[in-house]
Amino acid sequence: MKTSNSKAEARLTASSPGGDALDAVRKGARSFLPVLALVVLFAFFSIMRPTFLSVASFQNIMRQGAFLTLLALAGTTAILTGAIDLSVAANATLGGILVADLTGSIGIWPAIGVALIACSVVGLVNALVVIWLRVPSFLVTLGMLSVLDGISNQISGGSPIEFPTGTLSTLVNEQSIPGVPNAALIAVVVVVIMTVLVFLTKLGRYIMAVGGNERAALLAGIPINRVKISSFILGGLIAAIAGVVFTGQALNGVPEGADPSLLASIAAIVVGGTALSGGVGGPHRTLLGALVIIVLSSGMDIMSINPYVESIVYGLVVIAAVAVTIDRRRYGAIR
Amino acid sequence: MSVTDTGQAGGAAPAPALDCVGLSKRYGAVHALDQASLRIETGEVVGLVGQNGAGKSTLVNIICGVVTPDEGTVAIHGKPVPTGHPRAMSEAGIAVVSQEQSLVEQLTVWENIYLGRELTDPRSGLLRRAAMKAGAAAMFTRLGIGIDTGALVSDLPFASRQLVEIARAIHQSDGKAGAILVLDEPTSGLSPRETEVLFSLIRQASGGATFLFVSHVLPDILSLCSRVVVCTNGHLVADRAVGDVTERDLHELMIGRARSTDYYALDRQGSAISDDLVLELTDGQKSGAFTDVHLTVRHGEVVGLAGIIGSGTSEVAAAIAGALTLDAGHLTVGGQTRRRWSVHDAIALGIRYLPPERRRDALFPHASVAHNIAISYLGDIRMSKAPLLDGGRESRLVSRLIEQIGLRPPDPNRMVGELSGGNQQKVVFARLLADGCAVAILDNPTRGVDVGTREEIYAMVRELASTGTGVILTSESIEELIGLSDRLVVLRSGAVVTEIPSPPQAKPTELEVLACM
Repeated sequence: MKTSNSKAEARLTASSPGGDALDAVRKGARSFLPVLALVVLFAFFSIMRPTFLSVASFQNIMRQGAFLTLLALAGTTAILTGAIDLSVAANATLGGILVADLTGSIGIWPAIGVALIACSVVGLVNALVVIWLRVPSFLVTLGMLSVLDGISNQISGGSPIEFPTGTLSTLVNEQSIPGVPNAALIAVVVVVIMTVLVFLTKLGRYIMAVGGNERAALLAGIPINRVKISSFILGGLIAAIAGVVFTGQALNGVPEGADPSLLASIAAIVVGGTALSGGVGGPHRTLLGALVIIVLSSGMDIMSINPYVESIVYGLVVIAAVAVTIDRRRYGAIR
Repeated sequence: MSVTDTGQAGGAAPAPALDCVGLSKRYGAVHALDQASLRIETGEVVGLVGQNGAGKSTLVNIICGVVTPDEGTVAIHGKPVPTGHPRAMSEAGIAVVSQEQSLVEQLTVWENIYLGRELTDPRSGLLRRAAMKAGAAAMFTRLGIGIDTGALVSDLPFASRQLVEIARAIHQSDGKAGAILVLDEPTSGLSPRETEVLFSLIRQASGGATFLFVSHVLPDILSLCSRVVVCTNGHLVADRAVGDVTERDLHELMIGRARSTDYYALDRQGSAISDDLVLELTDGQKSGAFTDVHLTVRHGEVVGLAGIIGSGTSEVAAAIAGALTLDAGHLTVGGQTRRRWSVHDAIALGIRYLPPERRRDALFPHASVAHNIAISYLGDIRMSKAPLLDGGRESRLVSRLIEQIGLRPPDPNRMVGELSGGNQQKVVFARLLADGCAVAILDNPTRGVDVGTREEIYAMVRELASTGTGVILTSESIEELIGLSDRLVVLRSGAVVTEIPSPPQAKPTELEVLACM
């Protein structure tokens, strides 16, 4: 009796310092793990397959990385506010389909304009439903995902859309800087703009505040609904850019084309160290995370690993990254 | 423990139902409970009284296993129980009824009564619904509770739910010999008639069960309990039979030792700078919280809202800050009148709010000190030519405020979640200081803050008032309210009962204020 008691007490006293240590590990992991993962993966694949270090392989990483980075950036703003936008990939698909469908009739630039506006409106609708009907963003955007797929298929009739690709291909695939496809430049520019927006503007601070503690944000007088709406519209806008890049790389409009990348984009966000619980991380981290995922993916390609295994790896990476980054104090049962 | 064991072996007097020895709990530098020992014999009804923040809740939470004490042991019927395990405490016979109800609203009364201890048919494993319904109904009849046991809990008024909650605790204890019921403020929110029903329940049950009854309502304690224990500043300072004490004695015991006047920087207490009102709340009404509250604040005046938990002080503060929407009434600040206003509108009127629970209501734990402070001043630190924040302006503002609040260490880049409670509260305070607000609403600014920081916060309150800001203050400590305020407004059950002037040369005593609450 006595021994069992003292054991129970020992376990109790051990539990809280253990929790603090875990917190410290988590904090350190958030900052350094993505960089470490990138270095280790790079070294590993280079040793296993020296062709991994070839120019072709690098250009492949930049091409795929550009699209994934943009898609993941589109999801980042919502996640920073503590919400999630599962419709970003379907929204990007819609943007890409619109460009392919409209370029022939109204020209490439107006078509891109329409895509930007349409995808932003999708973001706005997501936010309004979340706010007015008080439905969790997770469910609203899951529904929206299905709606957008329906619309994209309706527009395309279910098959790829051919269109005059000349200007778009130049815009996305040419190399304004030798060796670097324009898509990668576009992605870097958007990363820089978004990073400045999140860290150096009032809206950015408000986004982080709403994600960090929504109640505190409200009591500090922050217009939290406007902040949420802005974050979803920004997500829609960037999803459109991702869709344009996707269509420019595929060279036709593919229904459900960007959809399979949803999980990889969320993986990129959390691997970069942005917490799904909100208020921690940022667009610059998403770039890092996207690089980790792309290096992992093209490394596995070069090693001829079965694509089904790749899917398993993504799933495990997401779960592991969430376990490392999420703030458990938000969830009452733990602690 | 060994003494108890030999006592039992010898067949002498039975072990007490509840025996707490040397319980201590610190939160940071604050001693919430210091070497508290409490012994309750089987079948006793013991009252526990004390001011807000005196340590009652900590003691109750330790007994329930929700809080793990730093030191001390708890034994139930002579057997030590591991602290910090709600389940172990409950299995040993502790049942709790608190203000925060634990009923499942979507279930019926009888389902709640049997929740977690459902009767099942041993062969099929199915629920014996009829038996449970009948059991609950029979129990309610026996106890004289006139509530339909088939009703949904969500359809019952608050008071009935409280009775169901108590009935459930009694039911839990029915099967077990020597249950100990902890009633934490069970009568707040109950009418006198409902309180009477509750008391008769307790008297009926107390033949077998043991009760610890925590209440602010001293007449209730005196009419119900056989013994009363007084908790003051984390110590159990008195343990008396009810026949030997009066309400007045209890008030005096609850107050504890006096503090020196310079603790509250009384020499720096000004009074209202002018007779012009900076804020006036007229006929403020919020259902379930307060009615017909009229409140005025002058420039430079500190107005203390006094009242026990649930009296409406915190709600009035939140409503003025825009965090609660009034059902009726209007607010006038600096000549502008509003009938409905948000937090955002209140800020535009010059009202700044320090909410009661900084971790829940005010802090962004993963953000830096600088970002936590600057969040209230982002409009002021924008660059003039671009829509970007000016890092230089921000760091100048933040370091000025960090110096003003005396943050230690004065590091703007530390994550706020890592700071001590006192430092965190200073960071929240910094949000009020930079722009000379018209009114500052401070809801419990010293909660969970060490003694040193308390004094610094008192100085900051004085500083704010001296610049002409009108201050509305609430506190768990009456002593502190008297020390800081120029005028006290006393609330009871959501209504203003009286106003007491509190100038530095003629402070009211705590006894006078307590008597009004």
